[in-house]
Amino acid sequence: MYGFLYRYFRVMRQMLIIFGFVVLFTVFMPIFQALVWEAEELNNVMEHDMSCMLTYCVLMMLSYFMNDELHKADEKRLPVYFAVASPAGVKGYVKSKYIRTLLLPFIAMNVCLMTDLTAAAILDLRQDVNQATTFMGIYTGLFMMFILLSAIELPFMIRFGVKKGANVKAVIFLSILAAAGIYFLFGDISMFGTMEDFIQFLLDVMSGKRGGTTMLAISALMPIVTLALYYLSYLLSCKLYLKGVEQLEQ
Amino acid sequence: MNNKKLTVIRLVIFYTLAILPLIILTPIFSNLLGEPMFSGEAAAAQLTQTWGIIGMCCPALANVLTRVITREGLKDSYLKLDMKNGKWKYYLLAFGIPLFYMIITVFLVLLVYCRDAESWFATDQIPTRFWTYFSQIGTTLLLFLPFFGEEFGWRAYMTPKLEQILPMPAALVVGGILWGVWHAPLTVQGHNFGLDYPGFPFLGIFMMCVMCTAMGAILTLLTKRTQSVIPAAIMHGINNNMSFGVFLSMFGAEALSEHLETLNSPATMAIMIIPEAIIGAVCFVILCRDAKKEKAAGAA
Repeated sequence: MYGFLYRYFRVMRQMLIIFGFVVLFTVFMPIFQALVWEAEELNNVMEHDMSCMLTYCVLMMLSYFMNDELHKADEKRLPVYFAVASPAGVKGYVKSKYIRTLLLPFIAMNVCLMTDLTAAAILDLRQDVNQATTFMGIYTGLFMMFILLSAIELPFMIRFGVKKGANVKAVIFLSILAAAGIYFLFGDISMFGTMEDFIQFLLDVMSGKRGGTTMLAISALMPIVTLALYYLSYLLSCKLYLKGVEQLEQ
Repeated sequence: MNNKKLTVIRLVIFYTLAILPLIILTPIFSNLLGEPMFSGEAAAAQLTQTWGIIGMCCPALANVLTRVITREGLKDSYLKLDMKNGKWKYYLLAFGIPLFYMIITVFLVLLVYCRDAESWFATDQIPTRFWTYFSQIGTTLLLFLPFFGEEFGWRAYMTPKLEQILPMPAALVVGGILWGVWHAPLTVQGHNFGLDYPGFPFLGIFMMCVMCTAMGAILTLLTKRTQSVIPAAIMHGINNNMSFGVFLSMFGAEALSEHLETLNSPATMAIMIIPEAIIGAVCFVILCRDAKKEKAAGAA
């Protein structure tokens, strides 16, 4: 299995270098801002919060979408034959696929966590109070969403190929967009009135002030359910892998 | 150089690298704050949390750096993720054991010290309190890195090395003491036991060593049975995030919390450790028995 992971790093080395630069930027930006930032006006606070949130989101998205490139590289005949013939076998190969899909978002989430906490600590020290916002809800939420999406799309990719797997992903994203569209048409959109309202809404959701007990229960159960689904998806993919290889042969 | 000597050198390098950042940086941060890090002041909270998380990664970094410096390579890294052959049971135990001894601790402390208290538990907003407490399981799984950081150092590197130069019982005790002393820069700042107990800070450091020896035995058992530090890291996370203190802060009545704060005596600390120590002792015996069997099988 380690061999498969090593191959992954070799194939992806250029992408990983780019990822490394984005990681450096993600670490530098919020900490630099925290060091030089003057919180005299509410607008400054909002701008700082917004730029931190965007930086973390960009890193998380990049970590997820980088995996697509590798899935494409996996669909060549040679790695497929190698996987079936290797001592780790199909299960080892599929396991490595699942671990590496998790790896980059996991690294990205932890980089965001360390940076976020360090920036908040610097701000608190500078202001001598405990009021700096952390954005844990954003990057952990995105991480869970990516695991959930991967858990759904990976069995499709393994059974029917990357193209159909990408179609499944597109259907999921379109469904999310459609649901958002319906909400924008009929739901409460007061939180999108001004930038301040929107950020306040996000902060309330993250701190559990909005949504009450149901929201709290969902956020408490979500990581467990997501990881359990990811494991079930791995078991399913192990069963589907050889059928996928047969299809590739045809 | 013989193997034993090399192992000792590796252990010294590892431990120095693991403890040095804490010894150097903790007093600097305390100086910046102008008060002990765990004083409970609002401005200190964020820095304390951040330093706690980063500091917990030091043993993992020490493990990697020692392997690089001494050209040891990555063998026996205890990074397997395997649930076959009944290993899944140890993953479940990693969740169950800390919750079990936490519940026993709660009842023990309540029965010994708070029999006369007017109310033990907060009766309002029970669902909110429950889900907030339950969410700590998810938090442990998601923000897994700091706990993995410690276990990858102590269980995947230090304990196996100690086993090479000492008999199993001594390796577990020495490992626990080293782990407890590693916490000393933080214990001096009020970590775990506060700042105003008799015998401060030496009693706190001693208690930490006892706690670490007991918990170290449980964590070593999980690591040995699964050949992986992942269950140990999960158990460490549950132990920290769902501890006695966290449970009481969420479910305890305000009067009870205030009452317990006044009881910051060595006896209270000892009672809090008893359930964990009993389970630790059982694991200690199992590990020693396993080591004896292995030795006998090796001799045969």
